[in-house]
Amino acid sequence: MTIELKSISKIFAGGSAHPVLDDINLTINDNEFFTLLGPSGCGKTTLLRLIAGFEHPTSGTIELFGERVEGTPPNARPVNTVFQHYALFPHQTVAQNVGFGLRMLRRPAPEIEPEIERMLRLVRLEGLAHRYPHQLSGGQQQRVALARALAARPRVLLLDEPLSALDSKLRDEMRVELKLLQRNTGITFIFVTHDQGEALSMSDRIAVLSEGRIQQVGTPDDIYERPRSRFVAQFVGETNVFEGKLIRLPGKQPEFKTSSGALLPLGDTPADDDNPALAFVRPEKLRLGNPDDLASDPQARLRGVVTNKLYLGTDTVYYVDLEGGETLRARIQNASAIDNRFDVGAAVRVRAEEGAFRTVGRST
Amino acid sequence: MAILQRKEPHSLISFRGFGSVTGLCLFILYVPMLVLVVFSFNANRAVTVWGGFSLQWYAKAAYNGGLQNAAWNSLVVAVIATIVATAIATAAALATGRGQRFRGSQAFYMLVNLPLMLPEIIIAVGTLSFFALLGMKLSLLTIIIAHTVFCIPFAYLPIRSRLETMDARLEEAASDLYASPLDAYRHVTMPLLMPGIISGAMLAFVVSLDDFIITAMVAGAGSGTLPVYVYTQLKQGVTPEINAISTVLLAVSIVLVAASYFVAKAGSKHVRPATEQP
Amino acid sequence: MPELIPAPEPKREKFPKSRLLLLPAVLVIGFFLVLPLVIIITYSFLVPATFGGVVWQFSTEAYTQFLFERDIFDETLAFNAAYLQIFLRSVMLAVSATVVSLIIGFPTAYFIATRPDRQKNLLIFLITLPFWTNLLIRTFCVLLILRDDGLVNSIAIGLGLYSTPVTYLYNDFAMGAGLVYSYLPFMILPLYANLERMDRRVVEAAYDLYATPRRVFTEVILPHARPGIVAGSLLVFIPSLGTFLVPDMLGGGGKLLIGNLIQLQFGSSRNWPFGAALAVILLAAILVVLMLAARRSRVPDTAERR
Repeated sequence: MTIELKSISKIFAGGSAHPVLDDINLTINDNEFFTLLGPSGCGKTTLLRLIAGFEHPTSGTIELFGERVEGTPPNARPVNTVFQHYALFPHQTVAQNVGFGLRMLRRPAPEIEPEIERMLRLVRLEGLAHRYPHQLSGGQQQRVALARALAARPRVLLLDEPLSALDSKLRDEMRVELKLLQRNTGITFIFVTHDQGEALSMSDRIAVLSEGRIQQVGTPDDIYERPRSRFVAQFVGETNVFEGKLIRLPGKQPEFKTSSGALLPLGDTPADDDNPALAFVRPEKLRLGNPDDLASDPQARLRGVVTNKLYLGTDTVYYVDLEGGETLRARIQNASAIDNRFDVGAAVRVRAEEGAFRTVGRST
Repeated sequence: MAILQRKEPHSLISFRGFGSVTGLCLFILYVPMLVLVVFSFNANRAVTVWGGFSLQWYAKAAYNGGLQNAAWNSLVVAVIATIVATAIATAAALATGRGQRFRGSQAFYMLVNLPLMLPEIIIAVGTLSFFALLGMKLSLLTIIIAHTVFCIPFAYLPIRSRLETMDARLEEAASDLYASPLDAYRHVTMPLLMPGIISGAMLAFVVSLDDFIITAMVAGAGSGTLPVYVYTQLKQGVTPEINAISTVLLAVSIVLVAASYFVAKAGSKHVRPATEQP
Repeated sequence: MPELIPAPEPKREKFPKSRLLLLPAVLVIGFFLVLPLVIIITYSFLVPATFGGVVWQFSTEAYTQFLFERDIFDETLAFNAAYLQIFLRSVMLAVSATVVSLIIGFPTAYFIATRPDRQKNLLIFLITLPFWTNLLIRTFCVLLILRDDGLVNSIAIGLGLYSTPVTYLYNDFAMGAGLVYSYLPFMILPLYANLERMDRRVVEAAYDLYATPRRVFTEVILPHARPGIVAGSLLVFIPSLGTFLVPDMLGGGGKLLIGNLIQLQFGSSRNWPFGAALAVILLAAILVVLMLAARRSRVPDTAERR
């Protein structure tokens, strides 16, 4: 076990009484790519800063490799950070930046030089050792920040939205590189982001945070397919949400009756939720069909009218107003020209895959 | 001044005539100084009648004993006041950090800026009364003390503004990379703060060099600085020699301020991260 | 996509020890500036000693003297407007200088603020430079060009506007000109700092919504610039009100303003308590102006702040 957080709370002095972090319990394993995902202000960066040692918890304990570190200053923790805007030392060259940690650890100079070269090779910046940060592009600065944080061989690398300042193409490339880097070095990565795409694509496990609380911890698949709260369902990926109640009739599959009266087919009985009040479905799990063609299909009981459509290239998103009044989004892949065939105003039936509708409780 | 006349008919943001006013403004600010400089090279004894180019007044000024003494006093006062004021201002800037609020922060910022807010004549008579009350004999020392006080805000402001543009995370990054607080201060904070300190020191120096009224009030016999000397001479009549001395004083201020400006500017590209915040 | 709402500013732990570094500044300014102010106030309630300095004996004579004249023989008080007039003339001149500086300074600051970066930096540097040069010498420069045989008269006579030199010096005009010349940069710098931060798109939006240039100026730009106008006006008004060099050199000594009246009391008149009282009156006037300005500069819009 790399990191163990127990009942961590953080209230900023002089701030509002509302805690920034509220009773956080979290275990992060060795060699794990762990992501803290949440909207801005959810406390994810504060949590990272607690682990780095820039802030101290109001209550609770932090264990790094079995040792309590709440009072330990950042320079005494085997943890390094890649900052959101990199925080490269502007008055030092790339090489000096990368070697900073080793110099502070008072390693002998002959040891530092080859280490700097090794790190620059690792992030493919060999030719730029004597440049200054302001002479580098955003992507290059990002690599310097990575090399600098990795040079002293930390056991845990903290990354605070490291991709947020890059343009989208570079961001996609860096996702692959970061993942590879983590696998090759075997260092535990703790990655903070508000971008669910980043979180889903890179992480071994994700913790979703909202308003200072952990909403759910799990693998990307868990988080996306089996969200346990309305927040997680809506924050991660796109979702259609319906309010209503569960109907169980003996000998029949449970159904969900929306407040407008539509009946949604549920797969299995929701196990972990005794009184679900919300049903949701991912837009890409829906299909649209001619009302007549699907009349007898038990999975296609919803009927409506297409009110808008957004052509996105790979997919088309249809907005369908259901008979009960709810609006539903369906994302249909444009695998062939035929898929893109319903016009605004067309009457359609919506077909959901078996088990596509899921439920969560109202309170969450 | 070509840039003042350039017309940009399609720019909505500009107003007609504002460029001309700017030209007039620069004209007002610079023509009187230009007249002084031109006539300092005048061969003619008459102050405002041109009689050909000459450096004689500069030569004459250079051998003037009273002037040499005043120049030496100016230098001693400015150097000591600058060093002390800059040290005090740097300490204060480090303590106030990036303008965080703390108990009494409002009062502190008011106190530091007080020398800027008060008319000089009030500071002058106040300081004079203070020394009189203490029974201190007016001398170079009293001038140095008075100068140190009003130099502090001039040194403080550039250092403080430098600190404000410095990314707070740089110090965190240093400590994250195993720097002790002292290491972080030595290897990160100080090198980055240096342009601000130099710039502040230069401004303090200029302000000390230029001050007249406070100095005149607290100067003892024989301890007058250059402006006090110039004033005394002026009261006896305007001479071309005064033009020459004044020109030198102007030049010194302008060179120092320009240098301070460029030091601060050259340093600033090192401060902001190349990637702008979103 | 970058976060639209920045995360709350990371607050840093307090290190009370570092506050000790404030101590030198507090001590030096407190001891050598605040204490002297207290002494000035004290002195204003004392009796003058014969050769300068004070006698430690309570008296309000210094303040009485500001408004009244004591008859040498029967000690009766008669109203004497002479000092009040000097004070009012100082205020009038300072106000005039502030208004003229604003009229010249606003278009200048606006023009500079709307230039491309490189021009902007050069122009503002040119405005700043005189601010740092020697005030005595700059006042002397005004003297040089306003003299009977100075530049202004030479040019005017050269152009045939008139044939005998006009006396520009040693009157209110000369002093006003000197004040504007001395403190004009003080008006431009805060105005520039304010206008430079203004979002140009706000102006464009106003035009887009059918505003005429005049209304854009009065309803968009002026309200935005108000804090800058207040700050600039204060920075011109305060030193103008207390000026010593301008009346001393350009007023020719005959035209007193409060600044050189104070100096005179500590100098040749050797009436320190009266000088101290005048300084207190000047200080009080400035305090009143500052308080009025603090109330006025409180603007409702704080939304636009980069």
